[in-house]
Amino acid sequence: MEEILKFDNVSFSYDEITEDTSRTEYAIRNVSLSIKTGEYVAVLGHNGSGKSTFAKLCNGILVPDEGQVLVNGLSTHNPSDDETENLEHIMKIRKDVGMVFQNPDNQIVATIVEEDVAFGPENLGVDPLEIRKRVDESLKAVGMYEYRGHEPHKLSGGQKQRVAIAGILAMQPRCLVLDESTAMLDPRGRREVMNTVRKLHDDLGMTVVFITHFMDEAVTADRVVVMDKGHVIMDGTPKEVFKNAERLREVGLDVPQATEFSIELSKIGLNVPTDTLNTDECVEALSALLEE
Amino acid sequence: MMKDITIGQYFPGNSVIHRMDPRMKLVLTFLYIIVIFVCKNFYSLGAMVFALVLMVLFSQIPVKTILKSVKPIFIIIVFTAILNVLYTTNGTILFEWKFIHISTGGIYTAVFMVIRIISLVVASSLLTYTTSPTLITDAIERLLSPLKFMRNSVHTIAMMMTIALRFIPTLIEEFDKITSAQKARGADLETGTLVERAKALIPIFIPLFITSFRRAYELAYAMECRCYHGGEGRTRMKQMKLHGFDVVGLVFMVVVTAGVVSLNIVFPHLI
Repeated sequence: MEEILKFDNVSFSYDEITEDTSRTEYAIRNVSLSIKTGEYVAVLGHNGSGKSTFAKLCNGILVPDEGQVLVNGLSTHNPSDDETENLEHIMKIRKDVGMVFQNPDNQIVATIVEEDVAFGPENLGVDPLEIRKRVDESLKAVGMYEYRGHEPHKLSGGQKQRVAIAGILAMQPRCLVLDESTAMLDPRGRREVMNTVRKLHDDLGMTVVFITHFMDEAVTADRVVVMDKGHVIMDGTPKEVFKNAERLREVGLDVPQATEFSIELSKIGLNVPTDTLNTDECVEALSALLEE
Repeated sequence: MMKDITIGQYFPGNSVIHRMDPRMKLVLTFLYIIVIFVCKNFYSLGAMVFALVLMVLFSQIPVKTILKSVKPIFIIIVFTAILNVLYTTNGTILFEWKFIHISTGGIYTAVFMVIRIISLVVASSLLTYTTSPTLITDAIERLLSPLKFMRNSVHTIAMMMTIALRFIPTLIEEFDKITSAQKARGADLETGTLVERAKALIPIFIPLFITSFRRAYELAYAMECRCYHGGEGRTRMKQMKLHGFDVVGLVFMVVVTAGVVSLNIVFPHLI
């Protein structure tokens, strides 16, 4: 499969990098990672683990100090000294990697839902009729089409975030990066956003990078990447990652409740698998045990 | 309570007035405001009110909503009426007491002024009721775009207006939230002298400013992520095209203007 996003030994620091690298505080240190087209990747990490910096490196908002980030084969570094050329280059990258942020209020630009969704394609210089089509399609894809004439401030948090996602979809990106996009929402809003993203992945084959600190949101991903202090410390399927409950707790993360439950059960000597991810799997394992 | 603020209140709809070219609406509203000041007598003013009523009917905006737009300026209307009654002394004197003289002339002028102000407000709110703020700022941008030498700043100003309008409700919400938070910490906002109360607002405005800066940074990031790079090479989803009914609107307004001017000539007096 094709690589859409590739981190090649990337380091980044918010401070000035001095000669003495041992004293520099890196937000991201020597990260190498590649994300393939169509993958659903959850990036987990505690506060200060570098996961937000990771997100900003994905589409050239931040540019790595060492190493490089490749989007679809293009480096996020400026290709030349010419400003217009640089602009075209970075627009190509940002068009491919759409980003949804944490606070829905701070990423909606226009006063009407459909006008906000049109903002991205308008910036790209897309033909008006085509924009109309894309706006309708994107709003339908996130289930907000009926709200196209509404004012964003009258919507709930989850709805606003779905509008923000539609705004990104309208640019027709190849990869969707969600930087803690559920952190400010209530449980219902969180579910709405999770289901929307899931649907985009399943139906449209969208590549999703989901940055979060909620374990339950990571369970449904194809792949989980755990970050701590700027390093990638684990990378694998949810089952592989959540088995290491001890290590996850060390870096300030929890394991999903179902997993924790089965781990505790196996500790007292019961024969249950320790890689159950959700309640259903847990129930299955337990009923199998009871039948024995 | 503060959420009910009606700045740029837009009522989605599909009436002829809604579908009119925002540029045309903007120009016609300006024309209407100018013409209403040209009116010299009740006959011409009557023509203007008639025109306005027609426009309101065509817009399909409920009359109640239209009246709501007049509510905030009620005090101004009353004040203007009283001043005009007191200061105009021509015509027959109806009532006299010490320095107060109430004359028929005064009452006519007062009524005339009140109708004028109400029409003015209703006409401009008709524009904001039927046109989304983004479209209004868009229309301003396009109307000013022939000023080539300042084209980029025209786009920037229009974008600033859009963002400002977008953030008014958000900041009001934030203001309410901070006020509650400070009250919970024992801030006293309701009692004391005017100076004390003004001082009590400082702990509300400082957090409001700080969060606004943070919002500004985040919004800038989000806009960059959506490939915003100024006005150059930008297209618009909503194209502005002149339709048949835009021309009809223009002709209508021209006829009304001509009518007002001739009525002014035919009837030289207020009534």
